[in-house]
Amino acid sequence: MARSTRPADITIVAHASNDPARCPSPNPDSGAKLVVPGMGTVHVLSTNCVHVNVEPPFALPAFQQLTAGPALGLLLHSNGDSILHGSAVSISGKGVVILGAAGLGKSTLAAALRQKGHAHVSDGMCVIRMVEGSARLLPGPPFAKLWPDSLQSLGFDPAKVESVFPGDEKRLVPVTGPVARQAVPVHRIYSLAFEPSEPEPVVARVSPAVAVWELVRNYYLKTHIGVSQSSAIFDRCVELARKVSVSTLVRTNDICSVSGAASLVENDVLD
Amino acid sequence: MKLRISEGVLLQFIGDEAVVLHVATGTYFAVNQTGALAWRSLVQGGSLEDAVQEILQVYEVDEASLREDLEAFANDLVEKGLAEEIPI
Repeated sequence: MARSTRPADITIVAHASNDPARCPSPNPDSGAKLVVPGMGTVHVLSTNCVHVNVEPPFALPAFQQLTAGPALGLLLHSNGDSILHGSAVSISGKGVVILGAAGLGKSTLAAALRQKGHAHVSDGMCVIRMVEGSARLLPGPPFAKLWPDSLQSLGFDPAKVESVFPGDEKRLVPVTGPVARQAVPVHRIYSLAFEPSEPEPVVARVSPAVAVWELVRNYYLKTHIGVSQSSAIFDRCVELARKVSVSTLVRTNDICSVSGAASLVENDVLD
Repeated sequence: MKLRISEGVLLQFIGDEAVVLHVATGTYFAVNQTGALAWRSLVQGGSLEDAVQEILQVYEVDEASLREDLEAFANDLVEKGLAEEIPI
């Protein structure tokens, strides 16, 4: 296979923390960093270089998890982008972001929207960049991570889909339908909530103040990034709440309500 | 009474409201239109009396009640560690 001669866009420096001589620690006082307990640390060294330090004993899956998610997310955050923990699709060229706590069904809802023919934008991490005052959603890798029961509800056989990492229950599903290749304007942000007493999914616009809170609490890896980044996160969420309509999407935690929620989102966006 | 925002407290005005994040505790507050007006006046160097007069220009309310409410609001901010009283 021919090697690319083009300079790398991003450099990832990796080392195991029990071998400092090979890779001396970066200046601890410069650059954003985050700690993922049980896995390691990520430290941004410059606009295009990130240091990944895996806790011993070094394990390739841990390194892969740190680089694919936290390292890239932290680097983009350091470069001024807003990083939200969610999934995103493009509905007729309009970017739709779905936020929510782990297990609420962000990826499943995005997959249901893709089944309706809408384009995949990203899964797990939504990168939003302000371009001339407008919020733009950047495309991510064409993969989604889904739990086996979500896969089954969407008509797939989990046994035939490989795990995200060895031993992981979640499955890494290649996106086979339309995929966004360029940034799309952010049109709507939905924050998922679970309410067992609701018979059907409900969408409700929230005030700007509530929108800021929804964005702050769903900021990617907020709990790991540390207080030094709080001001940047807060300011970016306020800016985003000023530009984009944010709603709560209340649903029951019944896997069958996903299709109803997908239709609700589709109608809300296209109306 | 004059106030300043405490260290470690982030404040932004959005629409008619104000949003506050207390970084150390992660506590988030949203303040309605009246509160936002009062806070804006107070943190921009105004006194409690300045805030009263500013709000009276926007709302038709009883001045004495407003003054009492704002004083309670200001004391609440100080008690929660979101603001500090400074000498006039």
